[in-house]
Amino acid sequence: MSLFIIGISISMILFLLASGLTLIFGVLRMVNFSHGAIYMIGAYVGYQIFQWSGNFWLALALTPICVGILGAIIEFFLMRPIYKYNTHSFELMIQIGVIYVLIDLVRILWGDDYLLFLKPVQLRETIEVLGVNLDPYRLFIICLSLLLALVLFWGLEKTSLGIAVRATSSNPSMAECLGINVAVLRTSVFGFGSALAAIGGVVAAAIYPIDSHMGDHILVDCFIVVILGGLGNIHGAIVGSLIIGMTRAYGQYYFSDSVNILTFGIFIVTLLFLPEGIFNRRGRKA
Amino acid sequence: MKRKNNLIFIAFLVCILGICFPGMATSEEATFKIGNVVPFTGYFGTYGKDFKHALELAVEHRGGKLLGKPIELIFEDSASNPKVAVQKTMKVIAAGSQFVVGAFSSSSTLAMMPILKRRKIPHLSMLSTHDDITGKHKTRYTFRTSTSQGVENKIVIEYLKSSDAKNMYIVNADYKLFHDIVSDVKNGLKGSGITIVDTSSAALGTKDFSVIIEKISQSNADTIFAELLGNDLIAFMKQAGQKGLFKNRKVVTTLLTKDLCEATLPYSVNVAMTARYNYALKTPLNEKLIKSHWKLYNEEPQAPDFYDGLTWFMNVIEATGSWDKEKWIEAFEDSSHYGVKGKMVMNASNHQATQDGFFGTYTMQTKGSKDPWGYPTTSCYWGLSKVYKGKALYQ
Repeated sequence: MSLFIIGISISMILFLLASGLTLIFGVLRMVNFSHGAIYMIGAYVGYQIFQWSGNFWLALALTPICVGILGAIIEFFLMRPIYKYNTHSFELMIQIGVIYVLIDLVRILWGDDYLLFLKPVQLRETIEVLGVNLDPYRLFIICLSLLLALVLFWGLEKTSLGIAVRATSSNPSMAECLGINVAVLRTSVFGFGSALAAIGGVVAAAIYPIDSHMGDHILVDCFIVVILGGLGNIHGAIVGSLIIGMTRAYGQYYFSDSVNILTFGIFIVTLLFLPEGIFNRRGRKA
Repeated sequence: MKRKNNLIFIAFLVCILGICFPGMATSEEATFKIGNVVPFTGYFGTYGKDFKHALELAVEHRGGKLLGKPIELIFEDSASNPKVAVQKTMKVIAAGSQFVVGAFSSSSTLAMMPILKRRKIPHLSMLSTHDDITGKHKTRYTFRTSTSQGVENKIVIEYLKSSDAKNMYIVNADYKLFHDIVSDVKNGLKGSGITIVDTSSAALGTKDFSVIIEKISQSNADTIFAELLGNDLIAFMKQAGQKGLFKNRKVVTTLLTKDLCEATLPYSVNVAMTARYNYALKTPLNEKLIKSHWKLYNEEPQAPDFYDGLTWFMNVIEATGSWDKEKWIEAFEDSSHYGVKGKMVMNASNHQATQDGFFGTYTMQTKGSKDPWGYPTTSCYWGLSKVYKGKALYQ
């Protein structure tokens, strides 16, 4: 059972990142390669707020706001001016630039030394559930991610903002004609996607080491999740996260030397039969 | 026509001069340049500044001069990448380096060696551990002044044999070097009474060790041999410690440096580790290094191997009194050094310096504690428990 919980918690951290990435793609039609760097920034900002306040929960609450604003600033000043060129190569170059700038900024502000960020006191001791010792922090990650997923689904389905987001992702020109401020919406979605990545960074920082390249490794899995689930599809993101997270967990347990082969193998085979992803583009988009 | 003939004649004369006086290319320079290809960025980037400090101190301690010329240290970032290390090696050679130091990772060092061999430039490797550096791929121009991986493995094997370990679980990075280490240790423990319960590999950059930790907790292992690097080791130690994995189990590793120990407190207390350097060792050069390093950088030396290796080679060069690199090589092959780690003797057959090996345990220090030199300790202190003599190790 604990292996199952571990797998779900890995999946949920992936979902936190993948949901932001797929949301950004859905609305902005842009693959945000700097998403891993934003996740990393979330970890560092969370660490710093924790250092100042000593309160993990405050760090968890404030970090997405700070990083969300940063994301919005990046979109407004760096991405918006190049939309008119309608070329992905410009977007890619800017995003790579953003990655390097953020990494160096982190090194200047926090240095290269390893940082220590502990779990909240309330979630440190293992608990026994049905005779199995479980890590309560991982249960917390699962609950938090599920809650955010529900909020995301509800927001996209039931609110006028969600309708505007779906309309813009479907047909931005028509959405604009209907009075939706597409430019503001794009900035907001980028900021919100960044906030989701930052939440992932904060929750991960308590169990994973914090370093300036922590976003690199998880971003690869994140892309696999998003492509597997279908670009721009939130439902796909959650299913993709579960597939990859559980593969990683069970693969590590039974085939530790071959876990990457297993993960990428599943990815390749799925794309051979479903090149648009599991939830293809005709399905609901973000 | 006459002008053309004159030009041809002048070109011919220049060629003859170049052939007759090849020594001109190796004649004295205005400065003595030393090329240093070390990582300042990338996976091992955190160590670059420590290497730089150590090398600069070594130069400062000899008055900044070698063979009567001011020493110029040229630093290039290998970016923890063998391809970049190769490019930067060519760059420092082009800049006129008399010899080259570097890199850090064995893959980068092995990549640099053929170029330095082709260009006949002496090369010092001071931290890369792969056995091939002074084994299968050894060259006339490369010398290693630090321990090799094979010797570190021997130390671990001897320690485990003498410990009360009965069942051991091995966790290693999924990287050839670490697979070789594990294979070496497994072979060394055959017939020792220690059972290898299981082995798990984790890809470099693995952040989540919870599955492996779960496997260990379900096993009957009383000892964990953790051969993981940098952040991976931090992740493992933190997650395993939080799970309570170390309560009744001993951890043995070769890779938990002091900064990693501090990043994983309190879980890194009592971790047993090999070391190439015994900070508390009372030698004149060690005392000099420690006092200077504390004065300049307010911390204990982080890269004593670099300081020691460079000091040794510069002493050898000075003793030759010559700019002839071949003479340096011959002299180095036949040299010994009493440095920060005690006595080291260069083995002429493979250019590997024999030296003592150390084994010890990390303890947690309270605020205000002092080390053997009277300086404040950090929260993690590695204390020596055994010395393994060089002669036996390098047989």
